[in-house]
Amino acid sequence: MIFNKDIFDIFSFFFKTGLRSKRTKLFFFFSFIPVIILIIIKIYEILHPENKVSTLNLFSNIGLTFYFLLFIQLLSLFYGSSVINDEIEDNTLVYLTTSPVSKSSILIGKFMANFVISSVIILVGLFISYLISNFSHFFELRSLKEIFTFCSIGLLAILAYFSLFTLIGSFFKKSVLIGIVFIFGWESMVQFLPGTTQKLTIIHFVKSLLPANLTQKSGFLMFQLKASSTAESVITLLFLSILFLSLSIIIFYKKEYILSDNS
Amino acid sequence: MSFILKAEKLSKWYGNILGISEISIEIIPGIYGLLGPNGAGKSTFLKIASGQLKPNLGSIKIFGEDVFNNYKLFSKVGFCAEHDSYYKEVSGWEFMLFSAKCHGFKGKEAEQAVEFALNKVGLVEDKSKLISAYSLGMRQKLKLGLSIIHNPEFLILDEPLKGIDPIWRVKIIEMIKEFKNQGKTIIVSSHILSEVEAMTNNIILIHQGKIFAQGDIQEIRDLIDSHPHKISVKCNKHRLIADKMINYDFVLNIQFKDKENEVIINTDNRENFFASLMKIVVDNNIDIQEITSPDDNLQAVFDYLIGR
Repeated sequence: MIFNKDIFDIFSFFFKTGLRSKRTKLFFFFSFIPVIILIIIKIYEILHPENKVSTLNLFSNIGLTFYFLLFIQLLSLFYGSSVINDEIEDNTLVYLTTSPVSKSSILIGKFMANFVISSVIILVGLFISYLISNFSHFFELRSLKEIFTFCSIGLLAILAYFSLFTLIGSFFKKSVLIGIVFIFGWESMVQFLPGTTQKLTIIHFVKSLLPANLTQKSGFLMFQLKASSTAESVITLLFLSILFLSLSIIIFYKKEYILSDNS
Repeated sequence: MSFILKAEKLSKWYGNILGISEISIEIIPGIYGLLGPNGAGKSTFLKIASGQLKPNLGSIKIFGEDVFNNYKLFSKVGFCAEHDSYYKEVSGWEFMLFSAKCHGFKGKEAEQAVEFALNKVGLVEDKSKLISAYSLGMRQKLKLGLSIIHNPEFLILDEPLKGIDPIWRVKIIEMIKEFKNQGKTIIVSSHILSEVEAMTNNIILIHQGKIFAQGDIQEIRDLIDSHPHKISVKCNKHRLIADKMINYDFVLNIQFKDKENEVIINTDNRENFFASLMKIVVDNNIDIQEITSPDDNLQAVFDYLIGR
């Protein structure tokens, strides 16, 4: 029970500080970029019905690409790597590690706080984008099911990327740089390679979960030869999340973090 | 005998740079002043003692237990770190309440613990302000408050008086003495001799990563006094003072800084020097502006002791 209380206390504190941070305000602003674009196009669509512009198509082109190919990765990178890295860079780790709270509770508590904040940022934007795109038939069962699916996939993707970047952040000082190389280098490059090498990326499993009719419309899966099954994708993403998070805890427990000051 | 802290041949280096080397020390309840110039290894030792760092060689035990990764130990140990770090988005109250909760306090109990600590360090009136709006002294007080919030049995304070105003310096020194009177153990590091002298006579001198001397501060003072000392006198008749002083055996040499009306006298007997100086001042009705001893700092102590 004490274990749970510690995690809850750490979570509450970092959730509060995270919500107040400039970083959160900035990312909230960025998350609304597709929303603003979709609103403008929706207005244009209403005013000029003769022109063939469909916000539904744009949702798959702009919304999905923005959130699933860019924003989820970047947000996970900045929030995931900061779980440990911020404490080291700001020299605040000492306040946590000289408290009678285990390192696993510290890491899990702060991981959860950052994860919830970044999930809220992404899901709110994604939800509103979808709402604008499907305004006329939003309350139909099909639409509700679809947005629920998108949000669930989004959460799973955030979890997988978040765990990976938490691991990188707990091990490397230049975690953001490494993360950017991973996102724009590895994850993008491997998609162009033939065969099963795509399975060495997280994005492959995320894309495999997205509805094919929407993703193919946007050319979202154009380089993917074959999508993995839903079960395989969900299990792989969950497995990777648990693996990365466990490794983060082990590293945080074993590693000696040298804070910068005069000795 | 059970020691509060016991270190055996403790060594730590950062790559090729030596932090501390073969430090062995045993501590029982009381106040200990850890003295040394900047870069001597004080903070490295205290970081190992507070579980921030792992020693490369040797061992350290607090209350008979290993320190690194032993988080439960910190219900009995309080640590005030040297560096000025804080969470920007929270108030002093929120940060301390968080710390109290981490120490196992709940609800009203946590609030009472925070009030107690804020009172001790004089931050009650500013508790609702964001820490980013605090002055350096206030942030230092906050760190001290955090280290005592759980009423620890063993307190490790790294440069605790840095940035604190003179009135609160006195109060905090009194607070540290009060802790000692309650049977607690306190290690205070500083590079200012007079600061530590105000708290305790029991000092540990650390230099170039090694314990250089340990014991009563008076013995160190005596060692200092037997070595040549520079004393600077600023007054309206500085050349007259030099003229009178030159005849004494204990005056080794004299330098002038005429622009500043200053004379710097090198002596190997501080006691006789000051007695003679007072006599000259009174006999000649000299108006003294300032008397300082540039050597009376910790670096000078070490320079004397290691025979530089």
